[in-house]
Amino acid sequence: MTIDAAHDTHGIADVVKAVPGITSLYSAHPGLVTLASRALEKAAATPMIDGPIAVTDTSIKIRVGIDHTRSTAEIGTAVYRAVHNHLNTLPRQYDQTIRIEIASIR
Amino acid sequence: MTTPTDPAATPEHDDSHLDGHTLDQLSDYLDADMTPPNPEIDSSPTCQIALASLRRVRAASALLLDADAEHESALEDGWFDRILNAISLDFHAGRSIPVPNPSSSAVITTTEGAIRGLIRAAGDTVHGLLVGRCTLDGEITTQGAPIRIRVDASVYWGRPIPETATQLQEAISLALSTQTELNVTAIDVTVHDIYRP
Repeated sequence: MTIDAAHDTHGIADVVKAVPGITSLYSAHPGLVTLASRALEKAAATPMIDGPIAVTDTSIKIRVGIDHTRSTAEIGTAVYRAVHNHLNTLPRQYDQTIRIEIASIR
Repeated sequence: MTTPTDPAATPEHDDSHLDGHTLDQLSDYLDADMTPPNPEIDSSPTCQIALASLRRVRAASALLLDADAEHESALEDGWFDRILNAISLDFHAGRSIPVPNPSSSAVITTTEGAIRGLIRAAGDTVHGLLVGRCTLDGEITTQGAPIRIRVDASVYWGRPIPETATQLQEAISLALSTQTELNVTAIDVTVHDIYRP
């Protein structure tokens, strides 16, 4: 199996959580947060419903909460750089857009 | 003074508004000191923003009740519900606000809900008031577009209103200029309630 972003969502999550200023890593799968576990299992038949990072052919979606230590631009850019650097270590090059949503500041 | 909001029209009765949870459920969760942990609530930014607001309102009501416990019923019947109904309109994530970044292969955004949470947190630094509704007027989905902030606040009896409102404006301005790249052109503060325990 070729390791790419879609097969390394937990690796991406670990990298995001290690960025200073990150307080939470939320699910980037729309609506899944409210589903019951059985529905989640069913949804898992869809590729990459494994962990909070949502990977498609065109995007890698990440939702985070941040603290008050730095600006949204500084922390958001730090997340992008960390993920970008991590993905460049994988055997298969990524070509998706990295989408980072800051969903809470506290 | 505001009038009580029609309960049937408020989002607390819309389960989808809080990622499938109601304000009552979140209030119970808070009562239980958030144990056992509920992963659905803990992983929902909407619920986290709502919990922060609940804590804020509870702290404010406790402050007022401490001032004169014999007025408890009157305070609980009106003030608490009105504030909760007002701020519950603001829990949703809302629009996505673009955040500048140096890469063309990245899109970074902040939710409107996160910004409202930041504004409320700024309000916490000002003594003697509680922030109610807050809205962001303008084309916030366009980077650099001028934005006007409108905030409703309740001021406690004995606090000078102009001074308190100015302090709130300054606190919000500082928080937004430090943490965001928003082009804020004005911060309107409307004091719509004064509470005397």
